[in-house]
Amino acid sequence: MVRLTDLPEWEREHLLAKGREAPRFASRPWVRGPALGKRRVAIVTTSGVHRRGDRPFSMIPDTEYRVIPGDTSADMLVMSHVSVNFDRSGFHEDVNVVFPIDRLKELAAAGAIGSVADFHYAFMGAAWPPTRFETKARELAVLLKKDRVDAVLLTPV
Amino acid sequence: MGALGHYLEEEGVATTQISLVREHTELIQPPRALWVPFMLGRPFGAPNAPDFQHKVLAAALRLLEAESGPVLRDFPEDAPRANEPFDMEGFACPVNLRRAQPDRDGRMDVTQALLDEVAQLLPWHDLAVKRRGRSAVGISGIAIEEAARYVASHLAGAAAPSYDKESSAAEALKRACDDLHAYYCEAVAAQPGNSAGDEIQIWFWRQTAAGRLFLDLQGMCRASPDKSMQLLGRSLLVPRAVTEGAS
Repeated sequence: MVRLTDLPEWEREHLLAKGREAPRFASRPWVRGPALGKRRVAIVTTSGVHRRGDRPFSMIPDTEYRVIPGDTSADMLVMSHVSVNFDRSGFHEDVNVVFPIDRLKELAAAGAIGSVADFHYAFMGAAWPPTRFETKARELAVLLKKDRVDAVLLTPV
Repeated sequence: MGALGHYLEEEGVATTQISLVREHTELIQPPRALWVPFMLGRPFGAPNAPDFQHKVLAAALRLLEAESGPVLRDFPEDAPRANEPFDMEGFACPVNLRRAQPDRDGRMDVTQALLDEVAQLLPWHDLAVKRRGRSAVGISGIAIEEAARYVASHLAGAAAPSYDKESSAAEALKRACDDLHAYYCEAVAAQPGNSAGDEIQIWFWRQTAAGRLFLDLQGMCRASPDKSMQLLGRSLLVPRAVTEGAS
């Protein structure tokens, strides 16, 4: 996004207020892994996308996630994020501008990454502060490891 | 987003992420982040631009090869299409929807006005679906005409029974509104020269019966005794760019 200093005052203030509640962590975890060409990659998004027919995200933001199987086609994905304050026209045109599943598969086919995970995950990032996601994130880590994932691409909206 | 990266990494899973708000990422300091200068809603820059999306994706994944962190890099390119901030001025959309006329007593039938617009946009929405092979409409699970009737009924003085017994009235209304908004945006984007997201928003909020109806709904929700309706009216129906940007 443009930097906060370039935004109108009302938008800048809104984001600055959110920033004041952002967590500061004491530790700096750092996990090493194999070369990119051997990594198994999953997408975890906070964009509120899910398969058509899945339960939409709640208007009262929670920290539940939706599962997106790796073989889900783009035409099956919809977005029920409750915010009205971001562009959706890009997503309407092309899922990959938010959830780059086709691009990831192309990288795997070209050998630039090892493989694409069997399962991806979507939250709705409206819950704030983000420390609310701790329990679900740790739960997800177990599932990702079972899927032999050793690299997660985190994408906001 | 940054906190998710922190927790996953603590559990032993390596992460890399896209950052849209650099200032937040600077505070949270997740293990690896690529800040991108794109508009909110487009973390990979631009739709239907696979080469550019690949550049962004590759830059994010390359951070996994850094020796130590936290790492916060800036992506050096703007998205292919200019993404100016949402601006309500200077927009002239070629779409001219036929305006509903008030009756002899000067009253406007909001339901009919909305249904008229939905019908006028139908061939364009059909074209959009055919071209794209998909539609983002469908959160509510009901047909678009039913969504229109349901939304309009709240302003017509007799809110229709919810189509979804498992959700609150506010959630059902929100999803029907979101479907209508997506339907309008997809339809008008299929018309010649109407691909810019911000221009479509200006058209929706300034020139359609649906936009006017949503603004009226916002007022109605704010005055509702129902707390969920109040929340809907406060922040989940009309963008800040419309309420704040116009003031």
